[in-house]
Amino acid sequence: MSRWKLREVILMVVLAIVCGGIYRVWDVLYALIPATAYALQGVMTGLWMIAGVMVPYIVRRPGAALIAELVAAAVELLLGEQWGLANMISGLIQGVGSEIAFLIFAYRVWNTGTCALSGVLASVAFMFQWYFQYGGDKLHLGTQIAFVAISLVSGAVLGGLLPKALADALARTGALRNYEIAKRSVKSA
Amino acid sequence: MTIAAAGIERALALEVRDLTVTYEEASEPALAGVSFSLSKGECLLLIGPSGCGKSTLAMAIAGILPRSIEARVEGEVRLAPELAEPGKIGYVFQDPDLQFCMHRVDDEIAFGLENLRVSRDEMAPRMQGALAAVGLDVALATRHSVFSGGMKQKLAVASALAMDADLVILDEPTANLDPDSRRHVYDVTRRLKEAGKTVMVIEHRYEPFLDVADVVVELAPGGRVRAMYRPEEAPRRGRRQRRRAATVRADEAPVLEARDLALRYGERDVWRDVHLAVRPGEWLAVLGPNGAGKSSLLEVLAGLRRPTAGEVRYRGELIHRMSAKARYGRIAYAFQNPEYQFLYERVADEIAGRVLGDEVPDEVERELQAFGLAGCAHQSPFGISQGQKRRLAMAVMMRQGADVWLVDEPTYGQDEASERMILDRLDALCEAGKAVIAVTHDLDLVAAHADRVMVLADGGVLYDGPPEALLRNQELLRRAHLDETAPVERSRVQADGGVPEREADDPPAKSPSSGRRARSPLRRWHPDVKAVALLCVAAVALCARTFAAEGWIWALVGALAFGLGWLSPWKLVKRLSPLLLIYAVYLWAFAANAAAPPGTRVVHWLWFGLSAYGFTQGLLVVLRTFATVVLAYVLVATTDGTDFMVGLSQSFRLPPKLSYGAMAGTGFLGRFKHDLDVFRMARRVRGREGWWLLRPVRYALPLLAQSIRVSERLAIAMEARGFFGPPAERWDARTYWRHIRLRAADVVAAGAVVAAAVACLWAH
Repeated sequence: MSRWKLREVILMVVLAIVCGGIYRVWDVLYALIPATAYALQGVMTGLWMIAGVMVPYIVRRPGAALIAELVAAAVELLLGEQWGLANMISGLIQGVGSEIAFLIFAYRVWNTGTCALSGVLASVAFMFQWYFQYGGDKLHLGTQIAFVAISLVSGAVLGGLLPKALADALARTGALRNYEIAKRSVKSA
Repeated sequence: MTIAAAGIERALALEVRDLTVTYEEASEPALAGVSFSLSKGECLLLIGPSGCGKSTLAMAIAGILPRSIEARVEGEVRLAPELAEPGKIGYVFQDPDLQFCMHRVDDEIAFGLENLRVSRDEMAPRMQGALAAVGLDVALATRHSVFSGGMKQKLAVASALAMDADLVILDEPTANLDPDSRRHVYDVTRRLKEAGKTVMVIEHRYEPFLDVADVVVELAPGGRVRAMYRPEEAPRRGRRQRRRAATVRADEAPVLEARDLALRYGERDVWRDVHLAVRPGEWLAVLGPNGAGKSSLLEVLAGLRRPTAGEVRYRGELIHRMSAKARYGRIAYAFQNPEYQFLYERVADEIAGRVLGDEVPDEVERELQAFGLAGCAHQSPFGISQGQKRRLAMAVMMRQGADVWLVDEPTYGQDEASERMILDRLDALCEAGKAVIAVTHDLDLVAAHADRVMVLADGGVLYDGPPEALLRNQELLRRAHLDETAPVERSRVQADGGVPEREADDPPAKSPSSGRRARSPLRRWHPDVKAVALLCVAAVALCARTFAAEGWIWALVGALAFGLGWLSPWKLVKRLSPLLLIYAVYLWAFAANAAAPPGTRVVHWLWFGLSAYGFTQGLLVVLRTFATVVLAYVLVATTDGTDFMVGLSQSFRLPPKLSYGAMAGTGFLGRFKHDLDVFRMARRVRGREGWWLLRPVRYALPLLAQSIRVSERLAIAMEARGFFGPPAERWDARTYWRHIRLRAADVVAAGAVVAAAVACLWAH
């Protein structure tokens, strides 16, 4: 932890805050779609995992995925989301899910594959919460399978590839010159 | 680089020899062979065009370079021995909002003292002394977010003085301030000089500092010293005294007209009874103090914000009835921060309005030339200098061919050359029969360019007429905070600013976390232990599977909220009631879709299968989830955010870098909503607001780029206050102003509450 640079800490918090804000907007959209449109709910799932990929992909430090997702969830909570502390638990387990993907590769591999995996694992973590807490277990088996499948794909795309693409786009603007993401790509190029 | 403490002449504060600084990835040095010296107690004024290395020089002296910003530094900076100690060089940055990392005045000043390991008992007197020295008369517990820009800069200086700084560097301290606030900065500079401090000021509009300065150093582009002057020899900036010829076409009908406008935010009247009409060729300047609602007026005129009352017409047509496309084809709008308006990743694309390949068309190249952006074609619009960004935003807007130009602070943060170019462009627009409405703090600009001036202050229009009469009216200028020369009284927070004034009996040494009023047990609970305990209760609550268990959980939650938290049930209901609707919908979803076991009754209607089974199961889900919503409310309502973060280091040994870094980051939360609003408007002006569903995605990139810049500046400002090395890395290598104690009772209480929650699960 003490190897973090101060600007990385602040960047992590600030990015997590922005993600928390985006989550909150997404919460409102989620409340507006029909509560029985499970497929659409599954499609939306992935966006709530972006902090867990974007931040570690930029600062490339152990723990970044977990802390960022937790902070984003806390910000979402402060902005008045509708799930209370259950949302913090989502943040916690999704952050762990995101973190595991990078941990498996010893924090050395940062590419499309690991980012997508990170999004998928965060989605998997959320599936447990969905099944046991949000009443997924009360639905028909067909609905359950469809929801899980769609959510995992959404986790890979919205929760993995999108934040990676965003971070890459940010790096191209030159804003990330002082962070690991820019340094690594310079070396590999 | 060597920072040598010895071998410097006794009377010298610092000596710079042949200093050259090269940033990573830059081919040219930012600073090339700079040499000068400064005596103790003297004031040095550093001037030169933007981008010539003024801040680089100052930051190299303060040691920020290369500590916080990576760069190659060659040559020597020799400091007097007493300046080489931590905290002896104070640095005040340009943006008053981006140098604070805490929320309250006392925490803010204490932050620097904690880094120096000053004992807690010594902190309060030092804070009081520093506040008195800068003439800032506010209670220690005041939140500095309510301060004017000038007061914030004073607080920044006070923070440096509390650390016993002998050299204070002011880096463009007045750039963001209205004339009234600027006076405070001149005032505090004079006070520093009188107190015998060595001072270094960087400024574009430096004339007012010439009175206190002893020596003026001018840098030239390329980072070389162009000249050194005595203050009386320093070049005076070309005053824009020559008035442009009037271009207003008084016989033509107004292009933009507003009647009976009023704007309220919640309970507060921002302004009312605003009438206004601009004719072709007219330049109207809008003046007024910070916070008078000038930018909001401009937004209302552009149809970006609906007024509370009144109407705005463009050539007789109601503005909000026009389609966005028609409206922003005719009305151009320049935001104070040009970054909000950029849509593309390269400058050339921005001008062309589409993504270009590697080939830049001649026509775009010419445009770049005309706006002094040659050579930037392939750079990111976010990566060019402040002046270049503003000119790029202007160039982009010029291509729209609008009739009405609404410009927010056109000369903000610009050096002289860039400023002149922008004003010439706006003059040319007026000559071509366009109308310009500019919000500004710049009286020189008003005198030279405006046909008419409107002063917005005290909730209404204070003056509307020709500039000459206004500039002669001292009384009016003072009321509108436009008088830069009047003497400064001690700055206080007004009672109507919603901040408590200091009470006579307020003991100054009082620790912030020991309030006088009785505090509820939940408020006295260690904040971090409480958060963990409530989170555990929430996790347990989510496992409840029967109505009996949920009933007991709810009883526990109620006991926490009202019995131990002393919360008002009424406020809680009011705050959480909007969520009830959402939960009602969830309940319906379960009732209509649950997989009812065989044998239960299911009513088929449309494609839903309604069942009592689904309803009861849904009720269980809703009850347990909503219990955590109430717990979240209890936690947020009874916890002080600063205590929470500081407690993490003090009681749980988290490296201060993480807790204080996070604290600094949260300051951004308040700005975020504002940034988002402005950003959305900027998109609308460019006709790229986008489909609402995709907005979160489309807005992400520029918002993120903005936040990265914010975090970098915050980090630099914190490190400049001694937050590096052990005080930032080890929890026990700093002192603490807030005293967060972890008692055995805190932990026992946590265990008891969680155990009670677990016991609820087995209830029948």
